[in-house]
Amino acid sequence: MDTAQSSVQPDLSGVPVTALESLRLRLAQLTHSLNSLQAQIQQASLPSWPALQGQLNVILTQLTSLSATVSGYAETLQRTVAYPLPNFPTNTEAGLLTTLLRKKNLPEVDDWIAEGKEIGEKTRAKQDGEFCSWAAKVVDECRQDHEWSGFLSRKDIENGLEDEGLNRNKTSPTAGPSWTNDETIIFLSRGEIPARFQKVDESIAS
Amino acid sequence: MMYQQLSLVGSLKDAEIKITLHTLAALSGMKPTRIFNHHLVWIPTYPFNPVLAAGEVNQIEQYRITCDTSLVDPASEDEYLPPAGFKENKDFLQTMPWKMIISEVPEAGKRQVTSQSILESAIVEGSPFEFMEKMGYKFSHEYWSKGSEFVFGNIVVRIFRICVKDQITAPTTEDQNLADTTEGSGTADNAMVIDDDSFGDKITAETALASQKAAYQPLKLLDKSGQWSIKAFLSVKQLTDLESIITGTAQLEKFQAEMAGLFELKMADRNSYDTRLRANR
Repeated sequence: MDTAQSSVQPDLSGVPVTALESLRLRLAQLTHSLNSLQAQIQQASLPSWPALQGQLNVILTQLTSLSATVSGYAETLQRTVAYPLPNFPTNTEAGLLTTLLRKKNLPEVDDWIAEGKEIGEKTRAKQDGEFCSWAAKVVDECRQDHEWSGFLSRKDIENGLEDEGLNRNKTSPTAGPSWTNDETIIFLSRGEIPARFQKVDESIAS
Repeated sequence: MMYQQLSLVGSLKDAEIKITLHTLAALSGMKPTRIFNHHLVWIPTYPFNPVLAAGEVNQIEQYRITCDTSLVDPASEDEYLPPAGFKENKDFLQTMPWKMIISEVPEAGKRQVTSQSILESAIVEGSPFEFMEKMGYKFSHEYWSKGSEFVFGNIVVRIFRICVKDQITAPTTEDQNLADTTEGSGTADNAMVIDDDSFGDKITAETALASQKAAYQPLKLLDKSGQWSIKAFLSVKQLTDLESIITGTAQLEKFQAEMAGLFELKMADRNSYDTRLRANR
């Protein structure tokens, strides 16, 4: 029996290896990301919002990539038929076989899809756009209620106070090389002027 | 009062000063405090140069002493007293409150910030300059520091430029030569008075009272590129208070990291802070 089964050489040439491999890779990534997100959420202290947001973005990217791959290989996958080899232990692993060869969605998956469709129908892209422009308008209104520069509040300005700023009206002329920190400190400590500036400033320190 | 000062230094191009001041004002939640200080540096009148002999105490160190006073009127905050040269206006400067400062060379070590012992004392009575002379010190040179100060918790940040006396009033032979070679345009360069904060106007107009006693001394920037110096520092009461020193160092390093991108703070070479007189030099 054993010898008869092992003598069957499966023909692997028709297996779409590239498609399956790239799907496997993306699924593995996604599983890993989902697991780690779940682990993070179940922690005693919730990770920071930016971290969660980042994690979600990664998962969304991976989902998009997965769905692009699936649709890319859709033709190959649709006409590929999986079947068990004669040496598959059907007696012991019958349950696994039905799972592996199942072509319909699981009932709960069907529910998810229906739910998603329902939500999708309720949300209209146009409404979303309207909401965004409304939000932008509100933000802009709030922004205009405040002073964003200077040292005075809106109230101060209404009371007639003038912002004198930092009292910097003119910028001084700039020319020539700058002193290094150490050169400046040496001047402060000992009055020594670096050789490269001495020609001009010989008379500073008496 | 003797204390330990932990510090870091940096520099800033003139073009960046405005945005930096605004940023620091926003971060610290305070308006910058004006600083305009006059510093006089004194050296021993008779430097002591003993013949060094084995077996005797041969570590005789004489430090320069700096005297500081503020030219910002504490009452109105933004009115300046006129800067007056020491030699020209000694009598007027006598009347100002001076602080005497002796700075030790910073400690050597692996610490990433400068740690320096400073002895600071206000001269409260009598003529400060006579007092200095009685101590055996004579005037060496002077400079002015001018800029803004912010406080971040325990850390004080000073952004300033160093000014020195402008020499146009009394040109030396070297200046004359320079002016000759540049065919007169040298005078214009020399006259680079730092009235960027329009304090020049205030001096001539508003402080007439003070100027009765002291002649306005035109100043020029030491660093002609207009660059600003930054000093971030905090003081710890004692060198031996290790815990405070460690906390202070950590705070300063944190501040250094926070300011990255705005300006770079570094530890200066400890030898730059050496104010000791070098024997036989």
